Amino acid sequence: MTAASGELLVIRDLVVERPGVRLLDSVALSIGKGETLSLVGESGCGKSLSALAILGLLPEGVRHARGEILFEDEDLARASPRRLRQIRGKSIGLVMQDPMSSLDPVLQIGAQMEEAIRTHLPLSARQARGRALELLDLAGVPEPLRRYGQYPHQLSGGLRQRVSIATAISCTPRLLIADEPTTALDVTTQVQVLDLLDRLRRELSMALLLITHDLSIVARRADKVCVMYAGRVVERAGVDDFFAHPRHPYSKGLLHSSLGAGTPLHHRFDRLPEITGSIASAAGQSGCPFAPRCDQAEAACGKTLSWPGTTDSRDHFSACLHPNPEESA
Amino acid sequence: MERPMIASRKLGSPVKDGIAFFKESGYLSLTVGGAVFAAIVVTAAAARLLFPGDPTDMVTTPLLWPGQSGLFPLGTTSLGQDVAAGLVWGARASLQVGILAAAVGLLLGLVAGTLAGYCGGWIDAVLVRVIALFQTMPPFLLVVVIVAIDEPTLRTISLAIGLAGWPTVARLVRAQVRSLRQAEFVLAARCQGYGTTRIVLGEILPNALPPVIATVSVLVANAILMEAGLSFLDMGDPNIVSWGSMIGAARDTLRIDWYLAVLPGLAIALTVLSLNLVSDGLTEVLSPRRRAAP
Amino acid sequence: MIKDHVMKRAGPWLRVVAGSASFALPTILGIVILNFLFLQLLPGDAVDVLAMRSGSATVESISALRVQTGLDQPLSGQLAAYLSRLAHFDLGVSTQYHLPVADIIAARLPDTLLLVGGALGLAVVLGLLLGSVMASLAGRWIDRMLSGLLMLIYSTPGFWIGLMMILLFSVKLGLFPSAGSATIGTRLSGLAALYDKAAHLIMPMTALSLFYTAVYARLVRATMIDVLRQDFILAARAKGLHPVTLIRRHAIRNALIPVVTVAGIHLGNLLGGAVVVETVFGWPGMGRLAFDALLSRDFPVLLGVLLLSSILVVAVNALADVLLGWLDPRILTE
Repeated sequence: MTAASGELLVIRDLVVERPGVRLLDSVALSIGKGETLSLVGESGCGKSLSALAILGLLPEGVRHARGEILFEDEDLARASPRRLRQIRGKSIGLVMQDPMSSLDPVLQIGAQMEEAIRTHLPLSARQARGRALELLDLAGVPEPLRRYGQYPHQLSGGLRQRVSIATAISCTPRLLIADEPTTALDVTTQVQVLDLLDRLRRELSMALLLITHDLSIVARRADKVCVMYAGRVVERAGVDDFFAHPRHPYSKGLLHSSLGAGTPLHHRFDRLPEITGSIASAAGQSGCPFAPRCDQAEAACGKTLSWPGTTDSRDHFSACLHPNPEESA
Repeated sequence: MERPMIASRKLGSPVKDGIAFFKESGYLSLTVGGAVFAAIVVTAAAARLLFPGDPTDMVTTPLLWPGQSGLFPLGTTSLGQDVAAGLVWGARASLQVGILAAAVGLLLGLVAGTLAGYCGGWIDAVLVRVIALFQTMPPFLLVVVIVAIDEPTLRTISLAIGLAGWPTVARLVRAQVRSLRQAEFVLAARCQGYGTTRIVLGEILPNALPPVIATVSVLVANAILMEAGLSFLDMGDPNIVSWGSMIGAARDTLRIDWYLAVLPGLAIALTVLSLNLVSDGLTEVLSPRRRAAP
Repeated sequence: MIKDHVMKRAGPWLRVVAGSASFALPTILGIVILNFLFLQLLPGDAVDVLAMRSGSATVESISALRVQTGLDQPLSGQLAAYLSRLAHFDLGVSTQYHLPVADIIAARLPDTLLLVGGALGLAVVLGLLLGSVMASLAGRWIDRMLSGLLMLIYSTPGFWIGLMMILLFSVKLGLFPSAGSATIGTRLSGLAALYDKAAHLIMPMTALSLFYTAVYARLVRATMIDVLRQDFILAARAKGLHPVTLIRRHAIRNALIPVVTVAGIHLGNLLGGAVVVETVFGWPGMGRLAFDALLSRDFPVLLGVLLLSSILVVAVNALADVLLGWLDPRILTE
C-alpha cells in the first residue's frame, strides 16, 4: 500500500474525535488511480465523516487526532488550510447526497460552476463560461445554454445532481468523492446518475470513492469494497472476492439481507438495534463494536481491546476474531 | 449528505455540563434579564414608600451633583427636584405605559391575526391591507397625532403606542394560525365535531403562542422607548415625572450638568436591556429546535 | 435563444412590479383618508390658533378666515376638495407660513432624504458587516463582545445617544457641530460645502441609524449562522473557495434577504424616529416640520408630510420587492 504501487489515496490509522468521543477509529483504506472504491455501511457509521476528513472539512468541534491521509504522497491531515483549498475542487471533487440542498438557491447554475472553475484555473470569464457549458454537456444536461442561466429550483433533482457532478469534475480531479449520490433521487434517475459517474471516471481517468449503503450498486460498479461499522473498517476486499467470500459477520449480514431481495440495506435492517444513537458509546467501548449484534459473538469478542484483524492471501481484510474462510466458501 | 452524528453534550462532569447547558440554552439571559426587570418593577411599585413626596416638588438647592449631598445621592435638577425620586417615579410611568401599550397591541394583534389567519378569504384580504396601511405610516408620527387628538394622559399614550405596535403581532399571529389551521391535530379536532371557538382557543392559539410570548417583552421595551421619545418632546403627561421628560428638561443644562441627562438615559437603557434579554432567552428556550431535543 | 430567454424572465419581473403597484395604490389612498379623518379629530383648527395669536380677532374676522381657508365646509366636502387637489399635485397652503405646502416640504425633503436614507444605508452596511463577522466567529470572544455591545445599543433610545454624542464630540472634543445642517452665515461651495454638510450630518445620521444597525447585525448573525450550516456552503468549501469568498458570494446574499424584507418596513420607523433626532440636532427635516405643524395646528403641512412619508415608505417597499426578486430568484417563479 504505497504510492509506488500506484495508489492514489492511502489512509492509515485515521482517528477522528470530538472531545471524549471517538468518531473514526483506526480507519485504513486505499484507492488506486482510476479505481472505484465503494465505502459501505449504515447511516452514522462514519462514511461521510471519512470523506470530509479527506477534504479537511471536518465539522466544528471535530478534530483529526491521529493517522495519515496520503493523497499522491502528500499528507492531507497535516496540510495547511491554503494547500487544502488548492486541492479541494482541483484534485479532489465532491458530490453530495442531496442535490436539493447542495446548490446555492440564489445563484445561477453557471455562476456556481464558474466559481469552482475560476478558483483553480487561470481562465477569463468568457473561457470559464465556455468550459461550464462543455461540462454541462459532458454531464448529460440537455440544453446547457438554457440551464446555465437558470436557478437550482428550476431544475429537477436528477438534473441538479448532474450539475453537481459537472461542477465537481470541472477541474478534472484525480479523485471524485460521491457521497450517496443517488439516495435522494428516484429509482430510474439513480441508474442514470451512476452510469454517468462510471462513464466520467473512465473518460477522465479519475478514481471514484463511492459512498453508499446500497450493496446492489457496489456489485456492478466498484473495484474494491470497504465496509464500515461504528467508525471502524470491518472488511476490505476486491469486489468479486467480497461477494464470493465475505469474511466479517456484519458483511455477511449485509449481503444476506440485501442480495436477492434487492432492497436497499437500510430498509432491511429495521429489526436490528438502531446504530445512530449508540455510535458514540460503541466507538469508545472496548472490544468488537459489532459484538452486541453478532450471532457468532463469544466472550473474547467483548474483551479484546483493539483486534488488529487479519488479511488473507488475496489481500482480503477482516476485523473479526474468527477468520473461518471455509465457512463462507 | 448524511451528517456525522453529533451528540448534544460532551462527556464530562455533570456540574460543568449543567453550567454549559444553562449558558447556551438561553436560561442565562432569561434569568439575568428577568431578575433585573423584577428589581425595577419592585422599585417602581415601592415608589410611594421610598419617596413619599411629590417628585416634582423643589426639595433643596438646585443642581447638586451626585454625591455632593448624602440626602440626595443622585443630585438635584435645575428646579431643585430630587433626581433619585424622579428616577423611581419615572420607572412607574415607563412601566405603566410599557405594559399597558403592550397589552393593547397584543390584544389587537391577536384578534386581528387570528381572524385573518383562520377565516382567510375576504376577511384576510381586508385585514392584510389594514395591517399594511398601519405599517406604512411612520409609527412615531402616528403616536404623536393620536396623543394630540386626545389629551396627553398615560392612558392615551399607552393606547396610541399600542395602536402603533399591533401590526407586528398581527402578522406573526396570522402566519402562525395559517400554518396551524391545516395541522393534523386541528383537522382531528374538527372531525370530532369541536366548534370553531373551541378549535381556535383550545387547539390553535396555544400552539401559535410561543413566538408571540417572546415578542411581548419586545413590545414592552419598544413602548418604553417610544414613551421616552414622546415625553422628551414634551408631549408626555405633564403631571407625571418620566425618564424622557427628565432628559428633555436636562437639554438646557447639558453642557455643564450632563448627569441630569445621563442618569435617566441609563435607567431607560437598563430597563429595556432587561426586557430584551428576557425576549432573547424566551426565544431560545421556546424555539422548536430546543423543545424537540430531549 | 438568449433573447427568448430574456423575454421569459421579464414576465415574472412585470408580475412583481404589478403586484407591488396594485398593493401600493390602495394603501396610499387609504392613508390619505385615514390621515384626513385623524386630523379632523384634532381639537381646534388653524383658525383658532391664528385668532389666538393675533389676539384681536372678532367673530366676523374668524368666520371670514374660515371661508377663506375652506374650513367652513362639511367634512366630506373638505376631503373631496383635498383629494381633487391632490390629483393635481396641489397639497394646499400652509395656514402658518401662508406658502404652498408642496414648496415647504420640497425645501425640507433633500435634508430628510439625506438623513433618513443615510441612516438606513449605514445601518444596512454596518449591520451586514458586523453580522457577518459575528457569524463567522460565532461563540468566540469577539462575537460575544459585539453581541453584548449591540444588545446595549439596541436597548438605548437614539435621541439619548444623540445627546451623549453632542456632549462628547461637540462639547468636550469640539469635533463636530452640534446643531443645524450647515454652518450659518458662510457661503461655502464645492468640496468645502460638502465637508461642512458631512460634518453636520454625521452625528444625527449615526444616532438615528445605531438602533437599526443593531437590529440588522443581530438578524444577519442569526441568518448567516443558519446559512453557514447549509449543505451548499459545504459544497462551496469543497470547491476550494476561500472563507472570505464563501461569505461574500454565498452567505451574504442569502443573509441579505431577511434584511431587505424588514428594511422596507423600517423606513417608516426611521421617518418617525427622525422627529426626535431632528429635534435633538436642530436638523431642518420633515420630521421636525411635522412636529412644528402639529403644535401650530397647521393641518395642510402635517397632512402633506404624513402623505409624503407614506408614499416614500410605499415606494421603498416596492423597491425592496424588486430587490428581493433579484436576491431570491425563487420569489419570481412562485
